[in-house]
Amino acid sequence: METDREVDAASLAAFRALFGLLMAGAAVRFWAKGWIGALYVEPAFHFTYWGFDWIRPLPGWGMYAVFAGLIVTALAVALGLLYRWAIALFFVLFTYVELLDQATYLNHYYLVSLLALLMCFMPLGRSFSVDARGQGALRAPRWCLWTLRAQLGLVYVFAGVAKLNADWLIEAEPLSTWLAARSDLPGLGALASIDGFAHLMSWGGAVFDLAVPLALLHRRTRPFAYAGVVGFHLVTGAMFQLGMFPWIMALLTPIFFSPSWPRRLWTSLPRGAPRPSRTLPRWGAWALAGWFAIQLALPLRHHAYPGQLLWTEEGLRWSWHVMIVEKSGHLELTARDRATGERWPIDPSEDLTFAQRRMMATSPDMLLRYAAHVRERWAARGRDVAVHADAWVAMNGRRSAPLVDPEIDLAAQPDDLAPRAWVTRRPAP
Amino acid sequence: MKKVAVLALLLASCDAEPAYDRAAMLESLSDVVAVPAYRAFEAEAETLAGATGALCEAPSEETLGAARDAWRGARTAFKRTEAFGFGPAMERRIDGAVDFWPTRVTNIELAIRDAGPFEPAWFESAGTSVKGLPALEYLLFDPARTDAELLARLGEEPRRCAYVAGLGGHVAAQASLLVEAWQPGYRDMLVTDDPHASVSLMINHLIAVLEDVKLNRLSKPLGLDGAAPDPEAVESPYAGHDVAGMLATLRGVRDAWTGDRGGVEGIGLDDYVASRDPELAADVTRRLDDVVGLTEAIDPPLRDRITEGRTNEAEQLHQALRETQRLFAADVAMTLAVTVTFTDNDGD
Repeated sequence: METDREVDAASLAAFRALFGLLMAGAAVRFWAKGWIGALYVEPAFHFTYWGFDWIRPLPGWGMYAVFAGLIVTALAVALGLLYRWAIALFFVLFTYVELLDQATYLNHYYLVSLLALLMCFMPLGRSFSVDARGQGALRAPRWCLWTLRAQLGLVYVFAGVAKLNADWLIEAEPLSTWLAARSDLPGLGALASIDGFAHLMSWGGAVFDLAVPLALLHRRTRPFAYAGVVGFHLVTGAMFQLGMFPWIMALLTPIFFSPSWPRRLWTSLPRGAPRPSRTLPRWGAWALAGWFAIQLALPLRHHAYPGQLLWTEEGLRWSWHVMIVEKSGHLELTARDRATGERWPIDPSEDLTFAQRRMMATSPDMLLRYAAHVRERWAARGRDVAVHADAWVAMNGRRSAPLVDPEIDLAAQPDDLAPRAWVTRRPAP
Repeated sequence: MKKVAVLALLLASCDAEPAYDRAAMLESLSDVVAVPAYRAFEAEAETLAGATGALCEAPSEETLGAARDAWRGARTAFKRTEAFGFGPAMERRIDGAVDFWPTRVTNIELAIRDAGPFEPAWFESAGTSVKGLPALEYLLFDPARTDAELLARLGEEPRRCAYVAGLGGHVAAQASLLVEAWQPGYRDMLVTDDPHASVSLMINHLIAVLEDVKLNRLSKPLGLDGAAPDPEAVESPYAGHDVAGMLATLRGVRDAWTGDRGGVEGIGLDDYVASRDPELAADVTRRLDDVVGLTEAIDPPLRDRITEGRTNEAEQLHQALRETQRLFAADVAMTLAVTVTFTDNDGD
C-alpha cells in the first residue's frame, strides 16, 4: 500500500542498480579505449571551467586511480553497499573528472553529475541492497521518485525547446546533413533519400522530446512512449558516436513507470514495509525548490546574451542543447609582440591534442583560455604578446564566417560571464 | 493504425531521390586517380632504379644526367600521390621510407662509411633518414661539389656507388609495394567499408596535405613563421625541385577533388559536395585551380627567389592555401558532416 509520502521502493532500487552498473560500464569503457591517457594525462594544457581553474588532473597513475575509484564506487552504488559513502565519493570523483577540461564536456556527463548529487541525499541504499541485508525498508519517499523524474524530464523538455528554432524546423538542419552523411546505414539510406524525411524527423524529434516525459507518466501512452525512447536512442546511437548516452536514457527512463514496475519482471521481490521511510524535512523541500529553480534558470540563461546561442555558445553548456548543431572550424592563431609589433603564428599542436584543437576552433570560451595561456607562456620567456585569432566556422548548412574579430587581442579580454564583444553574434546568412 | 497509415501515405507522396552513391565515387577515385598515380610512380621509380644502377656501373655525365632526370620524374610522380597518402603509404610507413626530409647528411655519410652491405634487406631495416628520394637527392645533386667531383667519388668509392644504386632500387621496391597494397586490397576496403569513414579520412588527409605545403614548404623558408627567411629550409634544396614538388602535390590534391586524371574524367569529391552544395563545390574547384596557377607562376627554384627577396608569388600562394584549407576544414567538413579529428571520443 502506498501513502501520500511513500511509494514502493522497487523502481528507485532498480534506478540505483542500473545507474551504478551503467557508470561502472562507462568507466571501464573509458579506460579500455585509452581515453584516460589521451584526454587527461597526455595533454599539456587543459581548458578548465570558469571558476574552477584550480582543478587539475592528477599526475600519471593518479587519473587511473580516480577511474578505478569510479568503477568501485559505481559498483557499490549498484549493489547498495555502503551506499551513502559510495554515491558521495562517486559524485566527487565523477564531477572532478568532468571539471578537468571543457573539451570533454558532454551533456549526458553533466546529467550524471546532477543525478549523482541528488542521489547523495536520497535513502536509496535502504531497500533491495547489501546495506539492508534483506531487512530494509521496501517503501521509499515519494519525493525521491519525483525528483529523479523531474530531473530527467527537464532534459527532454529543454532538449525539445532547444529544437524550436528556424534551423531545426525550417531548414531541417543539421539533421539533413547528418542523414545524408549516414545514408549508408541499413534502412536509413532509403528513408533519408525521401524528400521531406529530414523535416519529418526534425519535427518528430521536437515533438518527441517535448511530449515524452508526460507520455511516459501516463499509463496508456507509456508503452508507446518507452518504445519511442528505445527506438529513438537506438537510431541516434547507430547514427552518431554517442557512447553511453543512449543507454543512460533508455535504462533510466523506466523511473517514469509505476514504482512497482520491477515486480512485473521479478515477481519474487519481497513485499511489505518493515520500517517507515523518512519524510522530506522542511529544509529539504526548500533545498529542492532551490535546486529546480537553478535547473530552470541555467538552461534559460542564454536569453540574457545577445546573438545566436549555437554560434556564440554563450550560455550553451548545461542547457540541454543536445545534438542540434553541426559545426566545423578552421583556426589560425597569431602572436604579436606588443613592444616591437612583430607577428608570428602560434602552433596549438605544441600543447593541445587534436580533439582539443578541434573543439577550440568553434568555441570562443576555449579560445580565450588558450590565448591567456599563450600570453603566459611567452611572458615566461620575457615577451609581452597579444594573441589574435583568425577563426572561421561553418554551421548548420551555412557557409563559413568569422567567429571572432581578428583585430582583437584575445589575451587582453576579460574572462568573465559578460557577453563577449569580440565574438561575432551570428553565422553567415 | 490510422497514424501509421497517414505517415506511410505522407512518405509515399514524397519524391525519393537516391542517396549520393559514395561507393561509386570512391571506386572512381581509386581507379581513375589513386591507382594510376601509384602506377605512374612505380614506372618512374623503376626508371630511377635502372638509372642509378647504370650510373654506378659507368659513372659519366650522361648517366649522371639520366639519373637526375629519373630522380625528378620519380619525385614528381610520388608527390602527385600524396593526396592519397592516408592509405598504405602512411599505415606501412612507406611515405617516410620514400620521402623523409629534411635530409640528414651526417647520417647518410656515416651509413656510407660504416654500414652495409647495401642489399635490399639493409635498406628495409635502415632508418628513414638514410634512404628515400631526399637521400638520393643529396648524393646526385650535392651543390658543394662539381659534377666531375661527384662522378669521381662514385668511381673511387664502391660503397658510395653501391649505396646510390641500392637507394634507387629501394625506392622502386616501395613503389611496387604501394601498387600491390592498393590494387585490389586497399582500394576494395576503401570502397566497401564504411563510406562515410572513407570520405572523412580523405578530407582530413587533404587538409593535412594543404597544411604541410603551407607550413613546412612555404611558411618556414619564407620566414612567415616569425623567424627570418631561410632559403635552405625549402624542400629539395639540392636539386632545386621545390616548386615542382609543391606543384605535383597540389595537382594531386586537385585530382582527388575533381576525380579526373590524365584526361580521364571520373567522379570526385567535388561531385559529392555538389550534391549538397553546388556553389561550394565550384568555389573549392576555383580555389584549387588558383592554387595550382599560383604555384606555376613561381619562378623556380624557390630557394633562389627567397635569397633575392622576390617572394611575392610564393606569399600569394601561401595566402591562397590558407583560404583553401579553410574551405576544406570549415565548409566542406560541415557540409559532409566530416569530423575533423584523429580521435574518437563520444559526442553529446
